[in-house]
Amino acid sequence: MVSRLLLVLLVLWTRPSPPGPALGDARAKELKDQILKLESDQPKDREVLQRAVDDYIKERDEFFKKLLEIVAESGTDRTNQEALWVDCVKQLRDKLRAIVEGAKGNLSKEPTVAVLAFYTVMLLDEDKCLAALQEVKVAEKRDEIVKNQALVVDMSTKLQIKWDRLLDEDNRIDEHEKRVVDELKAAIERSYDDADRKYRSIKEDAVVAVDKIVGLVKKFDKPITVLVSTLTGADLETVKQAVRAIKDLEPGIRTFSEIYLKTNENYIARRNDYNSLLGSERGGVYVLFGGFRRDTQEFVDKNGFSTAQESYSKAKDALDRLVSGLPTDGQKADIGAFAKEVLEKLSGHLSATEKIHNAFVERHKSKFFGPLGPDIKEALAETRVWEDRLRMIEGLGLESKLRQWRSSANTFFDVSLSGLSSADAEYLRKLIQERVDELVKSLEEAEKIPEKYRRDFDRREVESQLK
Amino acid sequence: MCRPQTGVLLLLLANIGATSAPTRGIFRASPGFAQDDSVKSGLVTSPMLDADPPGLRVSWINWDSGFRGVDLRIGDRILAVNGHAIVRPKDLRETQRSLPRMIGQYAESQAWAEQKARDGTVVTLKVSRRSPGGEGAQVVEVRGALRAERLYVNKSNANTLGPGGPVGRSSDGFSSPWSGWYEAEVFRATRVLDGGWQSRSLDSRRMLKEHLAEKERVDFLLKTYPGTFASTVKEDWDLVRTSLEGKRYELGEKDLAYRQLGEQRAAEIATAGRKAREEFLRAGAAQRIEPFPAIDPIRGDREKVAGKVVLLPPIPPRDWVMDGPKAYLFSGDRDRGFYFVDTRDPGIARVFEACYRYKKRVTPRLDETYTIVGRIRAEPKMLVIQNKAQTGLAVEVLAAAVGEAMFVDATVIKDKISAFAGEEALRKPPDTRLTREASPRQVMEVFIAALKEGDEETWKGLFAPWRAIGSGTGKIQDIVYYPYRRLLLDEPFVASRRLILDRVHDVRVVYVSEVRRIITGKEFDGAPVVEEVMVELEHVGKFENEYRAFTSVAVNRIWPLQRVDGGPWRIADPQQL
Repeated sequence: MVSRLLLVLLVLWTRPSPPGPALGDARAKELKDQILKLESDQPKDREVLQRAVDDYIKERDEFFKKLLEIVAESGTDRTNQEALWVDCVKQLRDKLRAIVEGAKGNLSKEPTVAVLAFYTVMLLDEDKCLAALQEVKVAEKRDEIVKNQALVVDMSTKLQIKWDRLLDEDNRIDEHEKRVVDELKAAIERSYDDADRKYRSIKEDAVVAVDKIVGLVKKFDKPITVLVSTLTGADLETVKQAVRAIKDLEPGIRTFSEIYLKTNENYIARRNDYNSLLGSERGGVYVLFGGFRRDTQEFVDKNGFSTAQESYSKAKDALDRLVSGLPTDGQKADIGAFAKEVLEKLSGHLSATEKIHNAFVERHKSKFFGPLGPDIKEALAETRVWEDRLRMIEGLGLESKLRQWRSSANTFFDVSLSGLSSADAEYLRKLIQERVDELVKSLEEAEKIPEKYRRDFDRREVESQLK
Repeated sequence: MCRPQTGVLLLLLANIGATSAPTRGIFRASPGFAQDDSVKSGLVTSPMLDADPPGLRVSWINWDSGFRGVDLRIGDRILAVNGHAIVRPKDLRETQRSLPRMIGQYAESQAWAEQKARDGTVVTLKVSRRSPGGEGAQVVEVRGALRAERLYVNKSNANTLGPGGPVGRSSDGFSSPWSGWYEAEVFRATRVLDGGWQSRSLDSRRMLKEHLAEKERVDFLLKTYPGTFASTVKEDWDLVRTSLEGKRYELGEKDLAYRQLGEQRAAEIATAGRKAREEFLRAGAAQRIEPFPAIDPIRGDREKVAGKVVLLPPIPPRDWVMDGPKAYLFSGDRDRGFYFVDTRDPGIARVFEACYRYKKRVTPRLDETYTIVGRIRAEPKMLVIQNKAQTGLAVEVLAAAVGEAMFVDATVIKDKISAFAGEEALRKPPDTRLTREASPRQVMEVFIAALKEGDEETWKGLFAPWRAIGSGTGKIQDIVYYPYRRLLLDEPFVASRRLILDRVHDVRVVYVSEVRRIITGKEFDGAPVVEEVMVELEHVGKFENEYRAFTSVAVNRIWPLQRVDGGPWRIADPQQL
């Protein structure tokens, strides 16, 4: 029984005392202790002072609650809580003065010096504390932290709007560029179809002409070079006609050459269109994008989460200094407790700010600041899309076709001259050699177009401008 | 005024019809009688026994006082009589006993009698008065004679006011008897000359009118009853008139310029601005192109317009946009294209600073619509305006007109600022910066200047946020000290501005008292040291085309200034001008 009782007592003794009033009562106790020790033969004066202390502490606690509400305010449109804080403290200072003056009026007719000294010193000490509180600028730090949130959210929204518009502008230019290239491809295809038809036509005509000449050589059993100088009359005419048929290949070969020239003209014109559009893209879109990135980096440097942390840190330092500079231990205890609550409220704002910053970074990093993400580069430069386009051009098989034609041109359009002597074959080649040389040259130039295209429409260089 | 003492009257009555010689103490002082054992200074004094040092203030000098014609003035504070300092009585009983016997009090003759003083005995007074320099006090010695009380009669044995003066009971056709009239005149004179201007109840112009109404009677007195009494009355009357008329001031155009300051300046600056703008536009006409339609900043040929100058249409205050923490002005619309001005642009920053100076020095009313002349930059810009991303060209500010009020050429920079047109010609406002060591006079001069300029912030900042009352005794029960009080100064400022723009044409500092310590620092541990001075201002008004000092219940002449622990002087009484 006794041991159980002892156990209960032990539990009661060691049980933690219930938490005191949130804002502390150390100062009230301190002042009341001083009152009890005052030299005075007027108990009424002590009562008056005690009442004044009670009234003041009650007001103080009410106002401190208001101050906590001011700091706790989370609305991002409420950005001047500092003014409310200052006004609130000023009101409390007015109340303090009114309470103390009222107390003086209620004192006995001849209060002792000690009594008068007490209320004067109380007034001075409390007013010193409140003056420091008025200037501590904690609410200003709250305003800074909350303004920062609003700033980041606003910046994020605007960046998104700008990005959408930029992408839209870029897409329009890109589409235009693609149209240019599509037109170029179509023009090349058309040219080469024409060229192919022309080639076949030349070849067919060449086959017929060579056949006729082979026939005549067989009939007269003499080389064509002899026949053109020895035959007369209708036979000579027949031989001349057959030789003319070879010469008549020349216009066709010239037209074949000119197809390349037209293709080149088309290419140059389309390339210039593309370059002009590229100028808008590089000098317009990319410059704007570069501006966004610079502005965003500057924004992050000046308004990043670290600035909110700094504001919090300054508020904490200011409160610490305030508490340590207070004249009495009771004030230190009470204001210290109050300061903790204030910092808790600020800490809440800081957490909210951190979340907003994290969301901002998540949304915009690798686009508007930091290293550029590959998806962003692709969105603007569209390198892969253009690689597909290159493949399309390459897929036309231009180079091999051109090589084939060139080779064919050098071998009399692949028409067999085996029924003729080498002198006769040489004679026939010389008839169209000039045109064939022209053709070969133009085909050599045309072979370079795919390479030029790869160079002129290379998006990798464009992409490298995005930083 | 000479009033017969009861004792003398009885003796006089006893002598009527008597042929024997006068009794002891009374002698014939033709044309009247004098009581030899009742000598007085002829002064009327007001006790200032709680002052530091204690003294008696001279409120009036009787017409026949032995201190007439010496350097004693109404308002002088007597500190010592014949080397004996005036002392503060220890308690009320002591005061009741000693005060009436002090010089200028009703029972002073008893004290002189004890000292065996006679008619003609010379008395030396040590007096304190305001220093002629207008700062502090000076102490001087004045010698005058005691005089036996006298009673004057004419040939008909009627009591007269002074030898050859009018009969006290008669009125000579005026509305009141001479004795009553003279009593009223002395009362008025005392009211005016004995701190009347420092009290808050004197209306100098109204009293002057009343005073001038008595001129006829004074002239009559002088003419009909020439003599010492009449000439003294005239002298006193002139003194009061001079006082009530107030000191004459010469105020030139410069002194009064502040009264039309705001509007006049605004008109001058607007005229100068229009002229400067026209010249600027004329000079740059060759480089200018039409701003709209603006080229497409992405697809257009920016190089073609880069470096060209545009005159943008007026940009009202609503056409500002924030881009993160940066602000821009914009001009244009979706159809015509946009131009953007970064508010960090050095040119526009100088324009803003010019606007700030304009508001301070000309008038706070300024329509902040900006008409900008700018040079087009090559770089495109995109901003979000009303939730839509808009592209435009950036513009570097060369000049700007602000409403119709002012024009700034931002390309002209002197000492890092671009002046608005006409700014150089503006009268520079007085330097209202005060150092901590500024004297009370300097503080009040800044106070007056700030009021004339309408500089509310400076004006309000000169009032003390504390409240201190004390007598400098070092005793805690004698002080009131609040380190902080809320000052409500809006109404006093408005009322003061109204005064300085209406009835009051100037204000001058005319006197600064000695510094007095009202809270010594010994009253309790940590008590501050609070010092106080009184500064007297003189208000100048316009009366019949002249500028003269005046006072009335509407103005405050006396301004207490205090400082705490050697800090800056500040005005301790929140009151209007």
